[in-house]
Parts: sequence; C-alpha cells; structure tokens
Amino acid sequence: MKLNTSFFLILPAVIYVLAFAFYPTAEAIYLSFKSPHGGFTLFYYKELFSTFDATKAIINTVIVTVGALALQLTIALIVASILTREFFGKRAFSTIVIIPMGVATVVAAVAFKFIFETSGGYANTILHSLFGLNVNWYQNSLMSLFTVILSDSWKNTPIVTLILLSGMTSIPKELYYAAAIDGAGPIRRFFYITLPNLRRFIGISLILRGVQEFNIFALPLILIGDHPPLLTTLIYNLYQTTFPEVGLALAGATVLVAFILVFIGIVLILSGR
Amino acid sequence: MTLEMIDIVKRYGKLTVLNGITEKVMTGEFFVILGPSGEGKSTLLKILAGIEKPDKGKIVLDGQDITDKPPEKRNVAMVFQNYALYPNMTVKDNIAFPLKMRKMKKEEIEERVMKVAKLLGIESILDKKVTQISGGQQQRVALARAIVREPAYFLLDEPLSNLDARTKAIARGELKRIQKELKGTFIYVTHDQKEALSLADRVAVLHAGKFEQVSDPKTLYECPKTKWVAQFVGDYPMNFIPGDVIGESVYEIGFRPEWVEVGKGNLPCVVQSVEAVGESRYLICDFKGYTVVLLSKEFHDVNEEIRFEITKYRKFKDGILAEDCNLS
Amino acid sequence: MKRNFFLYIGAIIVGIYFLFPLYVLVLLAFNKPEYTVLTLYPSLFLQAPTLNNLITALQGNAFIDPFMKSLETATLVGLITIALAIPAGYGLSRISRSIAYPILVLLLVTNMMPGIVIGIPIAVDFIKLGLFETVEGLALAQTLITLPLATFILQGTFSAIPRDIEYQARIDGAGLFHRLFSVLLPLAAPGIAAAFLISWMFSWDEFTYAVLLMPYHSTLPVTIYIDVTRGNILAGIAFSLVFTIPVIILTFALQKYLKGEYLAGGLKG
Repeated sequence: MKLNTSFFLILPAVIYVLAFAFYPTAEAIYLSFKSPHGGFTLFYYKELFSTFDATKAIINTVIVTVGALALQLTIALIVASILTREFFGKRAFSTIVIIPMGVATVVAAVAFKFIFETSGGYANTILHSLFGLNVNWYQNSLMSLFTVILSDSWKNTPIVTLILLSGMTSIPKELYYAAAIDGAGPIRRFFYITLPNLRRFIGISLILRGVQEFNIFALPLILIGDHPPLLTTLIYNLYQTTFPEVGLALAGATVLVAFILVFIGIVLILSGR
Repeated sequence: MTLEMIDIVKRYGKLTVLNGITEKVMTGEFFVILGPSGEGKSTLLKILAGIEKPDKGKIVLDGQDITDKPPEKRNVAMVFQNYALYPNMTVKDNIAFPLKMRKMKKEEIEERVMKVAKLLGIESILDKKVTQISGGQQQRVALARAIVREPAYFLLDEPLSNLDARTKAIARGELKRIQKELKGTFIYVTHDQKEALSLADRVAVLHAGKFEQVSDPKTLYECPKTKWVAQFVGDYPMNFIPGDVIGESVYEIGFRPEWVEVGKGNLPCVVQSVEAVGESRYLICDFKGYTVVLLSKEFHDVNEEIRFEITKYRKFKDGILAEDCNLS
Repeated sequence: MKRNFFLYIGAIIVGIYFLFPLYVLVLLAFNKPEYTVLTLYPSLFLQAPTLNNLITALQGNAFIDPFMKSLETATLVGLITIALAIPAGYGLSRISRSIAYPILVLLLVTNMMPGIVIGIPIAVDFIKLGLFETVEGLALAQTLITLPLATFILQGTFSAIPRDIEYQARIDGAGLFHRLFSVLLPLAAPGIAAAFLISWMFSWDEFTYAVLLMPYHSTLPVTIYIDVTRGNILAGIAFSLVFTIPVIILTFALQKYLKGEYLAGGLKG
C-alpha cells in the first residue's frame, strides 16, 4: 500500500513534466522536419545553415560556453579556496560573493550594458582616466563574446563557488596535514589533494553550468542583440520574423537540443559516472 | 483478553524473517520477545501494530481476526525506540494527541492527561516542548502517550535502548511497576537478555524466524531448550563440553559458570583471564582445550592451574536439551 | 604573512568584480542623467544625487502594470510549484532510493532543456488554447524551471522526518487528514517555505518564457528589456533597481536554507 500511494503522489509532477517539457520538445523536433504541405523536409535545416549561417552561431555559442566555464571555474576555485580560511572580513566577503546570485539576469545585463559600451561607458571611464584609452567593446565578434562571457560569469560564479566550497569543506583536513608533514607546499597540496577530491563537484558544476551556458538568452539579447548571433538569439530572431511559421526557428532549436545532449554525453563519459 | 499470533510468516525478498510464529499472549502479561538485533523482532511488532501485513497467518484479538485492520482502527498503543514524539508539539499536546484523534471531550482529555502525567511523574514538564527535555523524560512522555489511551495492548520496541546505563536501570524498575499497576498487557521487544529476564512474565526467544523457546525467565535460564538459547541467555553463555569428560559419553554437557565449585574436584583448568564483577570473579580458563567460564569467590592468577568440579549440568544432544528439566 | 597577503589581494580583486556592477546600478539610478546616460564617460561618483529618476519612472501604469504582472505570476508559480512538489517530494522520500533517483534525475534533465526550444511550441499551443499572453499560462510554463529544485528540497525535507512519527500518528488514530495537517506539514513547513520562496524568486527573475509567451504587456524583466533596447533607458534602470531589492533580500534569507539541511537532506535521502 505504501508503494502505490507514493507513486500516485509523484504522478502529478511527472505528468506535468511530460506535458510541459517532453511533449513540446518532441513537438519542436517534429515540426522542424514538417513542411507546410505536410511531408518530411530538410528545407528548414538547409536554410538555417546557408542563409542564416547557423554554423557561425554555433561556433559563437561554443566559444561563450567554453570561455564562461573556464572563467567561472577559475574564479570559483580561487574564491572557494579563500573561503576555506578564516580571516578578518570573511563574513563581508562571503556575502559579497553571493550577491550576484540574487540580481535578476535582466538587471545584470542592464548594468553591464552601461559598463561596456561601444564608446564611453563606465569601463571606458576608468580606462580613459588611467590610460587615455577608449575601447570599443563590440568592435568585433570576439570582443562582443568576451563581454558576454564576463557579464554572464558575474552572475553565475556564485553558484559554482557554493558547489566547490561544499566540496572543499568535505575534504578531511587530515589529508592536508599529512601532506604538509610529508613536505608538500601549498601549491602542491592544491594540485594533489584539493583538485582530485573536487573532481566530482567540478563535474557537477560543468554539467549544470555548461548546459545553462548553451542556453543563455536574456543576457546576450540585451547586451549584443544578435551581432554576433548565438544559437539562442538566432532562434529567437527567426521566431520573431517568421512567426507564425515556426519551422525555421524550430530547426535551430533542434540543433541546440542536439548539442546539449552531445555535451551531456561527453561530460558523463569523461567523468566516468 | 487474549492476543493470538497464528502462523505468522513474513518475507523480505528472498529472506524469510518470520517463519511461522504461533503464540498466545494473556491479559496483564509482560510478554518479552527476545532475540539478536535485526532478526525480525521489530517486524513482528509492526505486524501486531498493523503497520505491516504478514504474508501468511493471522492476528486474533479476543476471537476477532484483526489481521487486516489498519493501525488507526486497532486499539493498540506503541512506543518506538526513538519515542517518535511529535517535535512541533508540547509534552501535553503529545500525550493528548491520541485522545484528540478519538474526538474525546476537552474536559475528559484534560483529566486523563493529568492522571497519566502524575503516574509517570512528568507534571512539571507538561508545557515544555519535547525537544527541550532529557532522554529519560522523553521516554516517559512516550509511555504516557501510550497509557493515556487505555488500549487493549501495549507494544514496546526496545524503549530503553537509548538510555544510559544508570537511567536504564531505574526506568526498568519503573516500567515493571507501572505495568503491574495498570494491569496492562505489554508486548516488549529487546535484544538485551538481562532486560528480558528482569522484566518478563514470559520470554519468547526469536531465532531464525521462529520462537525457539517460550517460558518464564527462570525456566529459560535454568532449562534452555536448545544450545543456542543456552548460549544467548545469561550474562555469560552456558559452557559446553563433550560429555565423556564426566562420564556422559552420548551427550554434550552444558553448565553455567555458577554451577561449579572451584578448588574442589579433579577437573584441571588453566586461567586465561579474570573478570571481576562486584564480589564475584569470573575465571575464563582453558579446560583440556575448551574455553570455559567459572564463577569463583576467590581470586586466582592468570596462568594459575586450578581444579573445579561441576555441581549441576544439563544434557544436550544435537544442540537440543535431552532431559526432562524440572525447576527444583 | 605572505599567504594572507595573496589571500587579501585575491579577495579584493574578486570583491571589486562582484561589487562594481551593483555600484554602477546605484549610480545609474541616483545620478542625474547628465552624469550617466547623457555623457560619453559617465562619472564614477555620485555627483548630484537625485531621486528624480526613480520618482518619474515609478509612477503610473508603465511601472505598476508590469510590476503587478510579475507579482501575480511569481506568486502563482510559487503556489503551483509547491502544489506539485509537496506530494512528489513526499512520495519520493518514501520509496526506495533506486527508484527515486532516476525520477529526480528526470526532473533535473528537464531543467536542462532550453527555454527557447520548449517555449516556441508552447507558444504555438497556448495560442490555440487561449493561454497566450495570460498570467496563468506563463505561470504554468515557468513552473518547469522551479519544479525540479523544489522537489529536490522537499524530498530532502520529508526524508528528514522519521517514519516512526508517521507510524506513531497512525497508531494514535490519526486519519490521513490529521496526519497531513497536524504532523507532516507543520514539520515540513521550513522546507515548504524555502521551496515557495525559491520558486517565487526564479519566476520573478525569469525572462525567456516571459518574452515568448507574453511579449506584449509583460512582466518586469521583459519590460526592462524593451525599455532599455528601445530608448526608454532611465525607466528601465529605475525598474531594475526596484526590481532587484526584494530579490537580494530574499537571497540572503534563503542562503541559510540553500546551504543547510535541505540540500544535504536531498543528497542523503
């Protein structure tokens, strides 16, 4: 009896998820292959990659994902390491480090939009007064993407920090003591003890954030619009312009899903779970 | 009132935990189910409570089959090992809870709660949150909650095991006193043979899914039906040696440490270690390759060679008691 | 000590990185426009603090409407989420780990589906169902984001309630109703509150579904986006600031819960 009622309790949530996640995804994939006359077609995909240069969007997305992950992991490792110690001002510091998590994506995007402008902007104010420089943060694709990486990492490093911190605090201190006694200095201890024991947590962060990086939408939309396009912003654009014909946008959407699945697969294989 | 367990069988996957339990419990009895940890005692109790259903068999209360009755409908009270007090309520609310569930009138609830609180000496903590009282007090509150309902029978799942040794001893005495005063039927589960022997009117030893022996504590101690029971019951397991040592060649001989006289007789033994308990000395010694425990009033050194004679023993064959055992 | 020196340097650099954008927001909101949007190199200091920006922007329907939309949507999302997550979390806490884990993973995976991918078909379907541009429709869609974490939290919460207490309640004669409302829910209250607040926050913040399913008279995030990209910058900034404050407060309040027993409980049980 226990078993049966429990399943009935879980059912509503499961039904909801099937209805609102799996069904639309299936619909999206299905419609991307369906021509207006009802048959199977690859038209949308061909258009996607030729006229709309989806390949470029894909490359941009990969650049942002890789760059953001690298930046977030690095900063998070540093911050988490700092937070494992006791020091004056630790309370304030740990609060500061968490705040960006609470700022709405849109709001963060607005702030960064005013920090990084094509000319002027707060960043340039600093550069100008210190070095007399004025940088066009959007002068080319790479720079624009860098701006997105920096802004996105601002908001999302905290969650990675929390994950890594909980991992670090679970490493028994005795391992460090033993290593120190054996003669390993702080850098060696970091590479031989901290990193290996964090593998699982780094893996979790990579999956969690990696997929979310593929999906970032609001930030690039506000910051760079669609020059250069990311996969998500491209999809949105197509959707807006071709609505109510959604085949094209959905073709892009399906490509995105495919990428995410591949990504998850790679990380799972690499971390051997 | 009689509570009958008829041929109770319970399996978990491939493991048969209870393999045909049949026994009657009489009104006002302190009935203890004794057995090693993890061998199905709690399962049996849960079946008696209605939390679990047996795969086979019946539970009959006063002639009525209650096997399929859910716990809410059985008139049974249970005290869990961890007391299962409702953390969000005060002591008073905890005790009153079952009465509220039976939709009793406020005045009556108040009266009963007070009566029970007095019986257990917890009037002073009635308004405290249960998370703020000591383990011993929590145990009494759990008991009070069970008593206040005046149920047909009480089920207790190792209620003393979370107490420290001293509190345990005091609580044991109190439990027995309360049971006698209430004339309640207590079905009590424990792995502690000392607890069982001191509390029970009758003890049922649960081993390998069956009641290997059901008898009063004295009989259990003096006349264990099987070798296993003999070694499980008692502060020290019963000693077993081949019978031909004392001329009973067909049997295996079992004797308790106190059924010997050290210093007399002609059985040789080399002392391996000594355990002093109060005024007694338990000598663990090597008798012709067998390790036996002997009770001695005098002190003996390690490696000392002593002699002893066996004044009382029981005969066992193939692990089963092979004689008529009468309590003398 | 040398090590502490590096630590402080690192802490300061990171601290600046995290605080600067917030400071910029404050500047944008409270500095006169001459010093912010109207000039090439906006000042790094509060030259002429003013509340004018906020006052003008926050009056009138241009702010109230989206604000109310966000409020209604977020509250509805919170309610729907816990309505689904409480039974699911409870059910998952009472079945064997080997079955519960795949279901939790399933929920987690749905979190990974891009909003864009799901949002477009949902938009098309919603138009047919008449749920397009409605608070109810948007709330239903946003629940997708909030459900996995809420279920995870509640599963941890219920796992921490010992089963014996439920058995005890049954033996004490409590029917399903009393078991729920006198025992289980009060004990799970902190977890439920946390799940509600986190869901509320996620919805408040949410952009993708909002822009796809309610593009015209939308919630605050979308309104801010439109304002900022179509020239009504000051309004966008003012909204942003007001928008952010409750969320920062909530993040602090929830920090305790996020770190503490609830996540651990989910991992243990």
